[in-house]
This record gives sequence, C-alpha cells and structure tokens, in this order.
Amino acid sequence: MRFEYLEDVATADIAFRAEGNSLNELFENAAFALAETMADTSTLKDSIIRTIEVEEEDQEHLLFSFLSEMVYLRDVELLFFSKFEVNVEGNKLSAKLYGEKLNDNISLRNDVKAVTMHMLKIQKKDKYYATVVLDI
Amino acid sequence: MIKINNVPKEIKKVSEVIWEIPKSFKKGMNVPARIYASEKLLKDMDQGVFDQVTNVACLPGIQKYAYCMPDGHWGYGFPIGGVAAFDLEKGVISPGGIGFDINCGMRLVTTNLTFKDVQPKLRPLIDLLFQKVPAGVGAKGFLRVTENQLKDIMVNGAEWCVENNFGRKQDIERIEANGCIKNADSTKVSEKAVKRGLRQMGTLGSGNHYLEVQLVTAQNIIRPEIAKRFGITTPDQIVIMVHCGSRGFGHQIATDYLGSFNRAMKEMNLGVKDRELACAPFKSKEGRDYYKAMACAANFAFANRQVILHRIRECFSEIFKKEAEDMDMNLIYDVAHNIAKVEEHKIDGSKKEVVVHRKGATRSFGPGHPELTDLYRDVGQPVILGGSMETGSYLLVGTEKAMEETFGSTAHGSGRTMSRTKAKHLVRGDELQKSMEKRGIYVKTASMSGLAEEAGFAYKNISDVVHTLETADISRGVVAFKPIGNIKG
Repeated sequence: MRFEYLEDVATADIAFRAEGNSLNELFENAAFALAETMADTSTLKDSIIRTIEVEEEDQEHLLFSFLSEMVYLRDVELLFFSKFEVNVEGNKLSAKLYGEKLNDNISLRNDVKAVTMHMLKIQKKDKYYATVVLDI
Repeated sequence: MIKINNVPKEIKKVSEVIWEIPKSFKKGMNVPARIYASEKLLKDMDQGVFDQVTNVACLPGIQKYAYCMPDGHWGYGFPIGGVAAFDLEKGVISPGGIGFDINCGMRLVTTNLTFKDVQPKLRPLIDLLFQKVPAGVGAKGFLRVTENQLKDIMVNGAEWCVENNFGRKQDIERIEANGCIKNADSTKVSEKAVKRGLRQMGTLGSGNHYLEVQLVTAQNIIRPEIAKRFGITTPDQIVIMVHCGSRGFGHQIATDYLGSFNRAMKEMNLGVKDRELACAPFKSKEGRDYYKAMACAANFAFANRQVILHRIRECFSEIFKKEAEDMDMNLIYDVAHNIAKVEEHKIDGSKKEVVVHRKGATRSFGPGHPELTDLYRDVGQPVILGGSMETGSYLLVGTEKAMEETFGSTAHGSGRTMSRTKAKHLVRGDELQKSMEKRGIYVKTASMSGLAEEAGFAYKNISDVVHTLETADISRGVVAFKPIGNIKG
C-alpha cells in the first residue's frame, strides 16, 4: 500500500496517510496520494518531466513545500503528474516528476486548494509514515 | 463515526444554545471556549471542534472567548465556524484562523423575475451561466488581467471593477468594507501568487463553490418588513447566490505565509498546539506583512465576485432580452466568511480595536453600526447563509446581541457533517444530478465526483443552524430560499 485516505479527519477536506520503506519512498507516495486526489493517474501519460528542488529547516516543512509546489504547477502550468523520483538528503529535496498538461483524456478528481500543516507529521516506526490534510 | 461521546464532560451549559468549555480543560488556555449550538447540533459535532476551539483559546492575546458557531466542524488550525478576536498590542494574527481561501464569501442578487418567468428558460439560462462563468480545475478566467491591473485590483478591490465597467457604483456600498480592505500592499505578495492570480480572475472554483438560481416562496418570508428593505418584495421572486473566494491567488498567499510564520515562530519561541495554528504577533513585521498580503487576497476576492456579478447580469439580459436594470438585478449584499479584520468592539464596557478572525463565520453587524451603508443602517447588515445545493439557503440580518456577544459574528452556512470520501461512497454524481432534476433543481457541474461530495445529506440541517442563531439572537432570519438551478465547479 502506498497510501490510504483517512475518512474521519477534517470533515470538509481530504486527509491521507502515506507510507514508505525509506524517506524517499514516503515522499514519492505522498506525492502520488496528492496526484491521485487531483486526477485518476492511470489516465495520465508521462510526456513531461519536471524537476523540483526545495530546501527547508525540517522534513515536515520539506514535505509541505514539495506538495505545495505540485499544487502550484497544476494551477499555473496545468501540469498533472503520475510518477515521482524523490531524493531527500537532510533538509534538502530534489525530485523528478513525470506527467502531462491538462487535456480531455485526463480524468479529473478534486480541485485541491492547498496543502495544510494540520497534523502534518513524519513518523518512523516499522516504516516511514506521514499524515497530510489537503484543503479542498 | 460515533459522535455523541465527543462532547467533553467539562462543558457547561450557559443557556439553551451556548456551551462553555472552561480554561481548566486544557493547559495553556487563556480564555474559555464558547460553542453556539442546540443540544442536538452540539452532540453531532465532531471531536475536532472541541480540540480545535480550545487550541484557539491558547493563542496569545485572545479576548473574551474562542467561539465556534452552530455550523462548526473539524477544520485545520481553527475549526470551521471559528471566531476569535485578538489584542492589537499583545495578540496575534494566524493564517490558520482565516483559511487558505482568503475572503471566501457570499453574494446575493435580486431580480424582479418570478418563477413563472424563469422556469421555462431555466435550462438555457443555467447552460449559458455554466459556459460564461468558468468553473472547475484549469478554468481560465473570462477576464485576462495584466500584472499591473492585478496590482490595482489588490489595492482597490471591487472599486477597480466599477471603474472598468464591471458593475455599478451602487454595488460598492452593498459589499462588506465597500469591497476594499485597507492597507493592502502588493509588494507583500509573492510572484507565485501573482502567477496563479493572473489567469483566475472571474472563475468560480470548485469544492463547495457554486452559483445558484433560487426561489423565494411567500411562506419562506420570515420577516417581511426587513425582506422588503433588502429587495425581496414578491412571492415566487427569483434571486441569485454566488459562493466563491480568492482562488489560487489567495491559496498561494496563505501557503507562503504559513511557511514563513512557522520559521518566524521558532525564532520568536512561540509554541502552538498545531502547526496549522502558526501565528505571529500582529505588531511584528511578519504579522503586519501577512495582514497586508491577506488584504490583497481579500480585495481580489471582492473583485472576483464583482466581475462574476457582471457576467450574471449579461447572461440574464441575453436570455430574458431585457437590460439588467429593468430586471432590478441589484446586489443585496456581499459578505466575507474567511477573513481577519481590525474592528472596534466593546470589551468590559470600553471600546477597543481588535483583530477579529472569522473562519467559516460571517460578520453580523447590528442596526446603527457606523460601517453599514445608509441603506441598511437602521435594520442591520444582511447576513447570507449558504446551505447545501439540495436544501436551500437563508438571508438573515445582524443584531446588537452579536455586537455584544460574538464580536459581531454569526454562522456562514449549514456546515458539513460527513466527509467527502464517505459522501462519494453513498451516491454517484450522475444519479444525484438526475434525482435533483426530478425535484426541480437543474444542475450543471464541472466534476461529477465533486457533485456527489456536495450531496445534501453530507450537511447539517440548515434550519437547525438558523434556529440556534435566532435563539441566541446573534442574527435573525429574513428569508429562506429554495434552489432551482445550480452551477458547481
């Protein structure tokens, strides 16, 4: 499992919990969860590659900024992504995102307004976990 | 979800519809929390409301109480339905107390058309509105503005629209704060926000945003004298309601400042119970900068709703072959329900300026308030409560009691009671669309799954909310509206 939706959190919004065997995989799966919330990623081609680089003071903030960048690219360049390669080193992130520009073949889902910091936490147990609440 | 056990046992009943959680409930609470709700609404509230409203009560400089309105539900940072006022010297400003959709709000417009006039042309009318008022993901605004025009809009709000022929002069006084929050400074807005804003002026958005054609029936006019003052004069009269905000422009400003506040808080050693409650002293550079940027987003939203009104007038003219003026298409009012504003209120008998945060809560100024237009000063401010697209909405009026008790604030809608994911499991968008059409509500949507998420059963009963507001007397019912046509993002 890459992520699950949390039904009973934030009534008017959407919350998910992503997981990963490594921090990189956790970030990739959180990005995938956001992408799946915005569109059915199986309807997406990967004709465009984008790189994102972010530096923040901690890893939660890094995840917040990384996901917020995806919302920004959706709004300004109409880009939707389905595959992710993330490399987190300390408080720096570099990521490659594969997707395409909005077209009639893409099956859209929710218009995510923003990524919130509500309950945002990265935890390391048997695996890495992150809970994210999206503003819809 | 079992909700009945969520009500904290420490809660005290103050009156039939006011409940208080004492300071002893949670370490760090500076004031008690007060929830306005009937017993039924209180028991149905989710756990998040009690956690979040008491987190708000812990913020520095908070005055009197942290409030939650009867339509309150679990949000992020503040609960939705949250109201809090802070001291200007010792208090804070918090983006989480406003929401990402800065100045999300409601606009209500009259017509002199009746159901008989509109019903035969409802489909072409809604189809045309759907085509002319862009909604949903990726929608390009019908108004392409330049960067310089956008900067003008940030500072002048709705006034810019009227100057550029997107409305009439008399629209302005019927907008909260005359459609322009002062102290807006476009240099406090990021380039990213500008880029998001450029293509979104004149778009409805999605989620719970809508444009609705509604019907007034004679039995739904609660206070006829006040209704008349607001322009509701005829049984079977048609009105138009719009719910939208500052779009990606406001969302980006909130995102930017949430990030910078979290960094600043570390330096200032300010701790909060939830990162989403990130705040900064109102007097600090960070606090002032955010307020100036937030004002830009608020003004963008006032302008967005103004250009949409202009478009609605054009669509009605095209369908009914009359000038908008001849159809009395007048703005009743435009109110914000996600905003922070500096206002003067009475605290412990003396007047004081405070920064009032309303997140999913509406201003409800009573009669005589100097900020109200002459048109309404003797009756009070129109308050617009948007309900679900299946059940209907309300026009209310502000009261003196709201000025005394809730910093002139009231509810904003019916309030969700079911998560989006759950609603989608229970109904399909296309089925809901058909069933609504059978009941006389014609809906056009940019997203079928989005439509399912907005099903009427996902919301509280709006009449219960209005009953609570009436009992507490923080606003009074004027007219109830039934939807007949709806556009959803």
